[in-house]
Amino acid sequence: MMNKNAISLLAAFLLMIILSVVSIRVGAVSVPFKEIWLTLQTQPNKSFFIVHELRMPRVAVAILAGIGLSVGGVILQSVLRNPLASPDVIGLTKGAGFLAAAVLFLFPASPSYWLPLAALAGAFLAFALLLLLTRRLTLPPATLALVGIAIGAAFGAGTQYLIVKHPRDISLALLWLAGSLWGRNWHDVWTLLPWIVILLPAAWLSFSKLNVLQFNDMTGASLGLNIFRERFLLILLAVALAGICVSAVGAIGFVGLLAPHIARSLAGPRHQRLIPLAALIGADLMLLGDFLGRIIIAPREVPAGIMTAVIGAPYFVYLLRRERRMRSTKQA
Amino acid sequence: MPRFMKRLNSFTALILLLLLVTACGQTGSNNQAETPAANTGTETSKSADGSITVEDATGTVTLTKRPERIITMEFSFADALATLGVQPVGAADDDDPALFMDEVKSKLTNYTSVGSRYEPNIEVISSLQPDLIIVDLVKHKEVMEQLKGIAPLLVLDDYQADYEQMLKNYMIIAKAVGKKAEGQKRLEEHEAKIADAKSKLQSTDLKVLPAVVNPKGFFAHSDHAYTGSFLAKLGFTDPVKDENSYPQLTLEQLVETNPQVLFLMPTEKETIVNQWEANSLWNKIDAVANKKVFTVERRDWSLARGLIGSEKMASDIVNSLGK
Repeated sequence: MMNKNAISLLAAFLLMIILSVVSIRVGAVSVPFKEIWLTLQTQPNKSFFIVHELRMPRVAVAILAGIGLSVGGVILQSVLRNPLASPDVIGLTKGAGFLAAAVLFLFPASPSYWLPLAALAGAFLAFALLLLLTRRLTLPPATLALVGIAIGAAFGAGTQYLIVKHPRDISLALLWLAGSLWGRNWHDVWTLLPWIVILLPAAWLSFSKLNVLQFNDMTGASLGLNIFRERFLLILLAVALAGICVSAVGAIGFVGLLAPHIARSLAGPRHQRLIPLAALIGADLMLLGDFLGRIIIAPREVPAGIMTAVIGAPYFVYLLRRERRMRSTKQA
Repeated sequence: MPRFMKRLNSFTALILLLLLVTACGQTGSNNQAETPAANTGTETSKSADGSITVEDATGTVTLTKRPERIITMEFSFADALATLGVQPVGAADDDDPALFMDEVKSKLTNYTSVGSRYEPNIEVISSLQPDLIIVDLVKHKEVMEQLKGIAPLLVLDDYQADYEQMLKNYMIIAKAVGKKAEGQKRLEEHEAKIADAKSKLQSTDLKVLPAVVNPKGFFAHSDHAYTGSFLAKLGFTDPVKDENSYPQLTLEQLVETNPQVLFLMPTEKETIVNQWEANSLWNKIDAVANKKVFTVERRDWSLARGLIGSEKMASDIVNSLGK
């Protein structure tokens, strides 16, 4: 008999495979399965480029970024003990967005690799500011979240200023800020992959610490954890995971909020189960958002960041309502 | 605890240092990729075997034969092909053919839209099997590597171009599609048309300001911008003298710059100017007092940015200010 947890894991995994295949099959140009099969046998035909150079790397980037953003979200929600925590809340995506916008507006002719580097630097800059302003994260988690929001607001204001100051160039910046998988290639995959391969196991291996930290500091301390150090290392882990993903796909914040919630409602609070499931659900969300964004107004595209929010927001509301209902029935 | 704090401190410093080092290292190693951008050379040759060599904004492009399936990723590139009698197989038109000027559209009879100019659909581009893609240096830099896998690229700086740069780009396109002589001839025709327009203007000793207006604001096009640079070329004076291409002006600032002629490019029917007209300050502007405020098509004046577009601008100006 398989338990519920294994079933949800398997379902999320199968959904990921199905979405990947559909993403490779369908698009502005339709590639029949037979041709996909032929391209896999390295018979260069006219669909080879579309399958191998456009859709496959895009699917891979969607999966990797979905994993990074959602696992980053899980860690932040648990460590900050705040259900609203996500890479957005500690100012990370806003910091990345600000430096990315600065590059787009102030150095439009800069080489293309500047943009992800600037975004990554922005994410870590936001984290460094958080360290400075919260006495190196020793303040209570609720305060950490508030300071993070303040940092994010400041960076957000900076981005707004740049947008207002350069009204003509905003299309490029808005596309990046919305978060998009357009034009992502194998180079992006190879940049993301090593980070995810190293950081995802690191996150999973921290499950026992996360299980303890999500309650309160007293429990953690009484169980012999160096609360402040563990909290710092875990938030750093989340920042690295989410930061590298944001630098690759733009400021897609919502996946990092939504995927952990869906996973939590299916797998419960234990992180040894929660982290793998959230990773898969994050990948599913990104794949679905990117796929819909690609076909909905083809040949134009809706950025994946917008689509994930459009499909995710109603489900999020449903989830919150159901949670409340369950809680009230429990009390009664 | 204090010892841990200290360690934490140095750790933070280490992160920042690391970021700095990686950022610096990256800039150093890739500088040479940037330098040829300034070079918009004109040397080309058409060798005996029919191959075409041309200098674009990033370097030398060699085409084995005259390209026949061309994709344009900006309006001005399509404008150039239209004047040369070349049909692109695909064009980025933001999926709205109405954004092409009527004259350009009538010449582009049978093309496939490749979608947005900012995020053109690479799948469609690949399925059209082009043999030349004309891209913008700034807008499309993120996908140049991918596009190179489909077809040779002609990279031109249109996004930041002024009028003179556009003329240079025009000749590069003409050479790349193997129509150097036609291009030269058309360019001379263009120069004659512009000179003719100039002669029809009584005086160009005027402060003329073109501006895009939308419900939120008034965006002047200074002489760093394409439209402004064209007016400067005709001999008009730019009243804003701003180092930015598109400075946003308030009504007070506009009154202070006091243009003698205004060309407004509204993005929609109701704009900020409708509110300003009710303000007595508006009537203090020379252009308003002398009834020299003209409304022109933003599509023709700001989006088109080619020979046909500039000629339309010149004729609009002659119709408004000529004898």
